[in-house]
Amino acid sequence: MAKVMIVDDAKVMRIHLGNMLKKLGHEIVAEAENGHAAVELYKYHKPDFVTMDITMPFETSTKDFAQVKDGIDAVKQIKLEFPDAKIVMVTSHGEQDKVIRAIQNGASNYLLKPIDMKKLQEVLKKLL
Amino acid sequence: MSDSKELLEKLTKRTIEYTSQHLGMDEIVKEYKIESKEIFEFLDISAKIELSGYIEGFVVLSVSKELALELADKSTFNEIDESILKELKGESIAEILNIVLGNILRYLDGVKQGKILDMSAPKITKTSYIVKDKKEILVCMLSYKSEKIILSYFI
Repeated sequence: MAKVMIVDDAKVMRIHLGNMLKKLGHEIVAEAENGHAAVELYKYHKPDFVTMDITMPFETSTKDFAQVKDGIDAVKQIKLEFPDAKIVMVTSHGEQDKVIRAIQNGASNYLLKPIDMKKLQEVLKKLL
Repeated sequence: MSDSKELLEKLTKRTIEYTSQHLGMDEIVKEYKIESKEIFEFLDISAKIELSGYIEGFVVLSVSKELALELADKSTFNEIDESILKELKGESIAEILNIVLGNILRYLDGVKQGKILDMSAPKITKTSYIVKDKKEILVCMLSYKSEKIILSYFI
């Protein structure tokens, strides 16, 4: 069983992915709705791996927009402070260039939406 | 046919294919009509994704509350409690649009040729839209059972 942090601006996606990960026996230790919160929560929880939505809007409930990061920025910052961090990007089709940028910045792998249980298992098998 | 109409027609055909194959919406009515409008009223729940790169504009998917719940249930969110889905129906439609549009866009010729096309994060949008700055709304009406689905492309 691994400790997981889920980062996605959409609550429905966090619930959905959380349900799938729990079915695979993993423990959800934290959830974040933007990149800034993800960086802060990573420091506190130090999860075994992170699922990170690539595209997250800046218009969130957080008033200080300068502190809100998208998925790629969050990967950069987490990897800078924790080089061994394992981060899987969650993306939709049509975002290939963002996936490449995320991997260049240290992301381990990616999952395409809609997330398939079999693909999730394959990615996690390689990761853990 | 203008480029924009051609694009919306491609988006529409792929939406029909995707919803039939992946969301089990076999009863979707396949006839559609593309209209150009200046003011448009959406249905209860609408989600918008902005496109930038070799295509500029945004796409909106709009459905009734009832169909939003049915779509959420037929999609990847079918394991989520109905009470939670009711609360998050707007967000669910935004995510479904993200998934559907991502799948549609990868079949566009420009994307296949490697041209840059960026999608914004999906957002829940207002229930009406008024055209400004000589922009154009292309609207396509589909229907599923007795419910309407609006797919619109704004340029």
